[in-house]
Amino acid sequence: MNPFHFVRHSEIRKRLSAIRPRLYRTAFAWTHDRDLAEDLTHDTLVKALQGARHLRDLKALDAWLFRIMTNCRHDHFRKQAATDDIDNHELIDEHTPETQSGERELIRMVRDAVQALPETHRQTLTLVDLEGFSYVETASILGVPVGTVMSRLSRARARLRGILTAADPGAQSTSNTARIRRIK
Amino acid sequence: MTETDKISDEMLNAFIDHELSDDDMMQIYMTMSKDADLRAHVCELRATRDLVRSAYRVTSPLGKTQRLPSRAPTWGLAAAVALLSTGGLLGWLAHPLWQPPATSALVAGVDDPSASRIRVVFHASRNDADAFAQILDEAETLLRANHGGRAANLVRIVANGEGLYLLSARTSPFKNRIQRLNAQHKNHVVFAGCSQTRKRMKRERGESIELLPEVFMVNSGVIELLELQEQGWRYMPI
Repeated sequence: MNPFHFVRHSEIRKRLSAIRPRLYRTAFAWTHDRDLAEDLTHDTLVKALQGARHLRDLKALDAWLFRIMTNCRHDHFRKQAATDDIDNHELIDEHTPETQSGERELIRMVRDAVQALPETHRQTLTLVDLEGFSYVETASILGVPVGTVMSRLSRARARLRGILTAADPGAQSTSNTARIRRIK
Repeated sequence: MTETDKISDEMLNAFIDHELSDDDMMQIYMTMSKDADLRAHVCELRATRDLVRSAYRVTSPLGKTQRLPSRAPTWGLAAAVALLSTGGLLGWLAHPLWQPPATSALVAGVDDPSASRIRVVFHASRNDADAFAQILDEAETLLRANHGGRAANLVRIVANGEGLYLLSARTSPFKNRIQRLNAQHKNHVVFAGCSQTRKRMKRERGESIELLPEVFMVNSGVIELLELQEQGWRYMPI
């Protein structure tokens, strides 16, 4: 066995194990469906393992994986497109006893707001905010120009802010103190 | 960029994400120093970003994964199984990691030295009865070497993809042998099937596969494979 290949594959396995929670988190943020998020994570790992030998630069592994997951998601919803549109789904009621706490309630509110975003905006927002991908990397993952990433992100955050403000009148008090002005 | 009105929302978002050049960053800092509204707006943008991060920080990955029960006390919670859903995947995983072995090759340097045991996960991704028979032979050889105590060899046999048929209650040609192995080596062997494969078969083929009663389900074979190998299990595919 080529020692170089052994080390490389061991490294990839470790990286895949390490990144799995991040893939799941983003898949969940995209879909808000735990089963579907697990499916997407699983399918992404399967395809990553199948194609890992073609990955030349390990530094590109993370972006490559999220690009795979983006394609997995496209594939999944293409199959369902005739009968189903994820953006028309009602939000999953994730109320649990824990939601009685303010923190849980805030989390639910933010997740609802993210789910209410258009899908393309939601993907862009989560790749940047959750995964910390640069704009260039996000553009590569989604297959769009950097300018599109910037405009989607800007709109997503503006809309998110609007949704959260509307959902939580208490937030208005903050806004009164720190008036938001639409710039340009 | 010397006036606030020239700063677009896109630029401000890029500012909080550190995506601007040093010069542009400095320009915005300077503008902010003179504009309280702009500072407030940037603060709101950052708060929105931080809220999103916080909202998904607590998402627990794969929380519904069905873990295998711990049959032997020494197995502990590591009782997951291996692997895989689509056939061929292991072509990549297998070859670099597995040299076609004499069984004795499994013994050397495989495992936790303190336990001096061998842990091997066999993987069936193809509906190949001859190959699966060899797996069972290899597994049985390892299991027969157990003489009790901590140094017991542990075996997982995981099926996914087309290999799931080998553990099917309706189609498996190995029902009796699996039942016997399971009974004789109850604490040291686990048969597992991939739930993702089963769901996919149901979804894509309308086919419901009922597994043998000795078979446990794992949610994702791939994920379990990765975890087991991280724990030092040897991987052996057919």
